[in-house]
Amino acid sequence: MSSSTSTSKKWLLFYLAALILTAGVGLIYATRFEPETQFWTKIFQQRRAEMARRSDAPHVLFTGDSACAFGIDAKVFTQESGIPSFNLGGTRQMGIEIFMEETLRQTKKGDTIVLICNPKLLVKAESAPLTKAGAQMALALSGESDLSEKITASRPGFNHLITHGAKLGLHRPAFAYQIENYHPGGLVTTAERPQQSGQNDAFEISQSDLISASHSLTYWAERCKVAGATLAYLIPLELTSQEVVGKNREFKDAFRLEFAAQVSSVKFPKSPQQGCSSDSSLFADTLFHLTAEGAATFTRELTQDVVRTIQSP
Amino acid sequence: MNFSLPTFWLSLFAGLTFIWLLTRLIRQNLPHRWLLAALSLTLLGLESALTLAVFLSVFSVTYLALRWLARQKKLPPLFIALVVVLQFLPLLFFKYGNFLTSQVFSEAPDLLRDLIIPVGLSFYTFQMVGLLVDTVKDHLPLPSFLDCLNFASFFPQIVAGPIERRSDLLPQMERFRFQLDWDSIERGVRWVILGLFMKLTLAENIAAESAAVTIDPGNPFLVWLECLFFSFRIYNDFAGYSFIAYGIATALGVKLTLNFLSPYWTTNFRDFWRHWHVSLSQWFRDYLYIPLGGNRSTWRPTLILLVFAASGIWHGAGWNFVFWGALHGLLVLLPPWTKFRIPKPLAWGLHLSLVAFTWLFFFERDSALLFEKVTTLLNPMTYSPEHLKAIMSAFPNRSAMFASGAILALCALAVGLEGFSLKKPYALLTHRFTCLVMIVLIYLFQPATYHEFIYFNF
Repeated sequence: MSSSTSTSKKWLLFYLAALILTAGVGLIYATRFEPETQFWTKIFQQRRAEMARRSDAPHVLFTGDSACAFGIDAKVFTQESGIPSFNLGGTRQMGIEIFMEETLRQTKKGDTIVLICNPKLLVKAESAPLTKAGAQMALALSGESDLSEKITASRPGFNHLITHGAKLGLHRPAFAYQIENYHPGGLVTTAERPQQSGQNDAFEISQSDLISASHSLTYWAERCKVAGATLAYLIPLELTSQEVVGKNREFKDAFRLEFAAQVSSVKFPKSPQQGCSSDSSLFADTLFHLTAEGAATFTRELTQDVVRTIQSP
Repeated sequence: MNFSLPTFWLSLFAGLTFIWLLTRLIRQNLPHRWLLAALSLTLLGLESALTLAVFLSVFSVTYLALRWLARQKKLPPLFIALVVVLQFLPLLFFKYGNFLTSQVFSEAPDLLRDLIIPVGLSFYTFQMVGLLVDTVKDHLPLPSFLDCLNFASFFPQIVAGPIERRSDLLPQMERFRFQLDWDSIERGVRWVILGLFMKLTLAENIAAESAAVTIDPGNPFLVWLECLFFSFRIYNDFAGYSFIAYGIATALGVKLTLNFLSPYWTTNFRDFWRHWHVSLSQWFRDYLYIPLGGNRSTWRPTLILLVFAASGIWHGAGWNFVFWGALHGLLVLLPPWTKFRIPKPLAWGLHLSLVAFTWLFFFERDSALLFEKVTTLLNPMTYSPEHLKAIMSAFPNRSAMFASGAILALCALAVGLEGFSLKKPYALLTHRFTCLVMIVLIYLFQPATYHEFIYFNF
């Protein structure tokens, strides 16, 4: 073997070693230092600790994207209805698999799971892989994931690394929320209140998306049934501009009825104000995140209809 | 055959592993060239059945015409022209059918609307036209069916070039053998790493960051920023693809044309086109410009404009592409900045600004918006302090602004590093130690979603 060939072989091994080493570093970053994953892992662990003390009585478990995490005050729901409840909401970025699987882990026979998320989150290919945030959460929460999920989790991306680095350099918090934002019962709040004008676009969802969302919801209803629970779906509240709020309420309610006709195994309680509000005082830092007061009001308003729906045969 | 998708690499790895196993089992008389053709056609077929079918139709026309021509003692020019028209027919149908009919009838027929252009059609059509013309013009022997097929379908370059010449690629196809040459593999891997770095780290992140910026067409600073984003994006996207193709071919022991030669280090448009998409410039020079008279023509300026306009329409069916090509033709005709005794760095800056300006005609397909943006850039009154301040509000947040600045800086650094080795293009960027750094950056910096290579649409 010539010396140039052995040098080439050596360098090919170096490239491979660099790749494996980088993947390892990426994996350590994803599970130990990624600020968003760190935050939500702590939240989920806190909730697990609280849920470990739960009674065997049937609970209402609210789950979904951040509209649920920042929008449902389970304590208020329990006070109003007398049914024990808990908020297990996550974020859109982590994907439905993560918060639904986590919720199913905490589910006991007789529970009702109320899924509250943007309907577009349900629209996806059935075999779609986990998102980056989802893969990172899966790894951080259970430590179990396949190779492709590990690879996804270990690639933080340019935007994320640069922004994180800049925040560290400027001694600013790496993530918008801290563990202090967590409240017993599962609610997450924030004091951030930027000026917001509300969603201006008309709510719409295509027929193909509706079918895809129906498949997804049917799948989760089956999973809930296996766990001995019932699934309900509720449209989250969204800050909507005054101009389109009336129209969007009509569209969202029509969508709810159409969705209910497609998925008979799931219950569809009415969302307060049909999921649209132009009252910006209820909202915190995004069009879906409610303030602590907003969450209490929203929960109070939905209690009656949720209880009636879940108690219906 | 998208080099940025893991599925391509898995398919390629599976194919090469299978061939390697065959070479271990059958040491003698292994049909290397048949296996190469099978690999190329399989990878093309995995793209779509239509892609494979259209390729085979263009190839069949070319090969049958070559066979027929080889038997003729006298070659009727009309017949040759007819064959070239036949070769171009699928391209005309898929790429220009919608555009041409909509220009004539104001609306294209249903059949031609929303047609998907089969991947690589423009590239292999041009390569096969070149093969036919070279064979006939220079009275070269008819290549064997297999070599001709491998010449036309060689998988690293079929999708987006380089557009190879008979004299360069065919002899390599005739003596092609699969062999485990570690030196070639390592050299090829370095080009693949550079290509992936340009595509996944630079072009993809530029695309992601620029998509988050809200461009006000009345603000010249933002329009310039958009041009700057696109200048870096298209270069890294296309050069990235070309280097991956070059690297895969090198690893297989085949030398392709280096399609990019640090084009952003040129100082005039004539040089720019000797360094940007080199094989396409050469094709237009050899098969259109020279046959129409070339430098000796009394109509030389008109000819140059015509050839560049044709190059523009090659890039896409739309008047903006024609205008983009013609504008480049016009700028090629202008004397270089250095003739005006302008210092070289200033000439370089002016030239690059013009290149960035011309990209506007390339990426902005909405003619009303294009007109507004061009007017904004050319009107000195729009360059106001208010517009300068408004740059900040174009970004969704400060993080996005910072990330945009950082990716532009990284792109500029990469182009800057090219400048250290202009005589041996990309020597520093394909250095082994640089490759180690790039592996880290590719892995950690690539975004979660990918865009198709821009030139796949051409």
